[in-house]
Amino acid sequence: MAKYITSKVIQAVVVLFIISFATFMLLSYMPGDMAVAMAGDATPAQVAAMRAEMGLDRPVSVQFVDWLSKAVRGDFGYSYYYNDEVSHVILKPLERTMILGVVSLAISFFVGIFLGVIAGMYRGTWMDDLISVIANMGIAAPQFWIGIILIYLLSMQNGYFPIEGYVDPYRDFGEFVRYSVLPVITLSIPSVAAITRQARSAVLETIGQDYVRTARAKGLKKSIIIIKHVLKNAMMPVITLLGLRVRLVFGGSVIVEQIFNINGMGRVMSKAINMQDTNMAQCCVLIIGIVVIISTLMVDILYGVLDPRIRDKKGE
Amino acid sequence: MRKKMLALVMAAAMAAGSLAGCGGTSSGTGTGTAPSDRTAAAGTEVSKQENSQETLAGELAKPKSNVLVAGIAEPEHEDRLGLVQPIANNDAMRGIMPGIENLFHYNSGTVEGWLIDEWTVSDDGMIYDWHIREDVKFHDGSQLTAEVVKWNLQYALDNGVTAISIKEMEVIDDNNLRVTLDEKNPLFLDTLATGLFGFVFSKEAYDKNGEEWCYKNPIGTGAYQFDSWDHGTQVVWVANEDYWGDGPYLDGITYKWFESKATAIASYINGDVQVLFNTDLDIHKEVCSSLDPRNAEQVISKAPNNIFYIWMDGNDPGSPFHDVRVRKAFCYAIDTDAIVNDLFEGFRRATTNQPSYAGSQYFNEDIVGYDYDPEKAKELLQEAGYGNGFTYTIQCRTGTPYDMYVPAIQAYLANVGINLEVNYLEGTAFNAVMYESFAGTIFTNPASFAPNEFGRMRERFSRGNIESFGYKDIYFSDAYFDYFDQAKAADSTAEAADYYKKAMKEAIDTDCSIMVLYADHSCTMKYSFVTDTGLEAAPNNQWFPSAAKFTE
Repeated sequence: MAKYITSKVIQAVVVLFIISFATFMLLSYMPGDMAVAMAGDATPAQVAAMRAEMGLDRPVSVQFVDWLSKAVRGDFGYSYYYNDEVSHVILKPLERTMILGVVSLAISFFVGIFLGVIAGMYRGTWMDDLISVIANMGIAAPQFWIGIILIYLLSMQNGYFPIEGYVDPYRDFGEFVRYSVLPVITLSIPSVAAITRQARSAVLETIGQDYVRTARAKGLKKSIIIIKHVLKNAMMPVITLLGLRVRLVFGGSVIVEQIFNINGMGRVMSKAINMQDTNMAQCCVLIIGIVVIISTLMVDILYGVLDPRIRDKKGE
Repeated sequence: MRKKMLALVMAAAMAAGSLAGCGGTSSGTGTGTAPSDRTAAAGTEVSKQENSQETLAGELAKPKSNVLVAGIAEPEHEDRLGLVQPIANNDAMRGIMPGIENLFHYNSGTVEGWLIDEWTVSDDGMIYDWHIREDVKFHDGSQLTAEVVKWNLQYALDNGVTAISIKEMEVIDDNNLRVTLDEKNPLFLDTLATGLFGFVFSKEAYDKNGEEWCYKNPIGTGAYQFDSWDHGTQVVWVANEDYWGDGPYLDGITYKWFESKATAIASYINGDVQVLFNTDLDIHKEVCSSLDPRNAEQVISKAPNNIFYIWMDGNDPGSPFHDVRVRKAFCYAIDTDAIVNDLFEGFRRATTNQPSYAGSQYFNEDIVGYDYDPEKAKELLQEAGYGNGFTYTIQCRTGTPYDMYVPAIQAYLANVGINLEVNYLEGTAFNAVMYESFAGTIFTNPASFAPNEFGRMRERFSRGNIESFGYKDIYFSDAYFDYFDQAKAADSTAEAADYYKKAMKEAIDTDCSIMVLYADHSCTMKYSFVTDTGLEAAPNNQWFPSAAKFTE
């Protein structure tokens, strides 16, 4: 397993290099640059001065090598838009996006599996139909629309939750929960829907297997059959999907943070790209890359935990 | 409640549009005016909404707390809140105005003292003697002095501000400062009053904490002092009990930036936000379909925020627009009245035939302009040798209002044989064109009124300035530049206005150098219980919230 993880880490480094190179080049060759983006009413002379101060007057290759040599030492450079070190600016938004994302993924995982198992176990009944219809709707509905409808139903109609904003959990946990409910639900609905459908299919596939029939014939309790035999074996595709959802939850944060007016990483990244704040955009892309790579790695490891055959093969 | 749902669903559709890079359209309203005392003087109109669809007789809203929440449905572009003098855009201005004050205030063309309470100007217009108000302290307890004012202006000059040109500043004593200009500038005080250059920050805070700290911790003299800033979403100000002037009357002011228009609308309808700046037709429509008119009072500026133009590359010998007849044909071919009144339904926009507006001292009544006349356009094109038309490209930004009026212009031009291709560009790419050259194309863009139409044209379209921008591709005659030089050298704004009018007559009627599309005014929406915000007095969608209060 150690050998397997080492090879994955080496692959990850190569992938991160390619991602950062591609992002840097794309941003550099977009028309205009950060000096122009921030210029507003400035004169061309002022723009030129800003460009020189930001180091944008150097060749792109020099800029990239300079950025890379600092980045490997943990220095992601200075954000001229935020007037601060990138590593300082990104911490708080990253924390917010991570908190909302992790809570959302946890909810998606448990609720999705629960609903999927119910639908699978009671295939063809009204419960299966209802869950399937809701899951299909959850997949089809655009995230911004879900957010707006939630705002209408739960904020404007009843005043249960605030329309927008965010409170850090360590500042006031109760308020954090109140402010986070709508963004988390908005982030979770597509993932819950996708996991529900996947879990249902997996359960249906597993439930017809010989070992489940044998377990039933042995007179085992239904709950034990589900937990020990069905769920464990149905988990593989669900975990694969969960790994993929990590990427989508981070991607979805751009829209959710926009709707609920949260200064998270999605918003910082979209601003950085709009303003061509290369250092900040690079950092955001790298973080997303790292999160996706780690989640993929964890999925691979979990495969091994769930299925000894895979573990043994990887260990060879 | 059904209307709220409808508004939200519409807003969601708008959000979809904005995500897809295109905006929604709108339907209209009429307005009745009820000018306040300061309104008339200030050149703004406060209008109670008369909803053409249905007038709602709902409840008069009450404040939810003693904190005023103001916002704007636009993404923020503020990169700092403190030491803002040299930054190029003024998007931060509204957000910092609860706590940071200006040397002067601008009240519909009139400069009034604020932190400077008295001043004199020498006969030659070169020397200003200022008396600084004596009882003013910063939020950190330091005193406002002539030295501090000098330091603030010097900071602006040292960091590239060119709109003000100062030769030297001499501190006479703690409260008297003599400012000598580099060149005569009849708009010197106007520029200070309407831009960021006249904002005053604590020198002591700078000396103690350094520049970067000051960017994020604005220490001013205002009625509210800085509490927190969540970059991109909100800045929070709390009451400054030691304020030197009247106020504060509220516990605090929070200023929010909404990236999602739908969220801004929902927050306003819900009463969470009580003042919404720079509202557009979409917001106007959605809010007015949901709220009692008293909860959607609108303050529309009499002076426009911007005038929208089409800039033609008349200086490019290879361009059809090198020929004045083609430029004139272009103008005759487009019905700007229909664009303003039918497309934008008259909301916030007005037709004008010059870079000014009726009622301004810079407005030239003698300018004839180009009323819609497609037959005349065809004749002129025939004379210029373009009887069979031609194909050309217009460069414009993405989003509203470009996605509304540019297709309309395309259709008008097609009627006279001009095939206009549109190149939509994102902001940065568009700016790059503007800063370099647009020869071989035409482009459309607004020009703001900062500090007014003369100031703006002076900065961009006068000798010595125009060469540095892409605007150099526009043809202006020597006569135009000569008049403008005389306006710049004038002893008074009245004299400057006379020359400015002559220059505009040349640029519009004689040379048709530019095409004026329409004037775009600002509209701020507020609940009627929010009073004394200074919205009515301030230019360019600004406010002076020190005396803001909630009134029953």
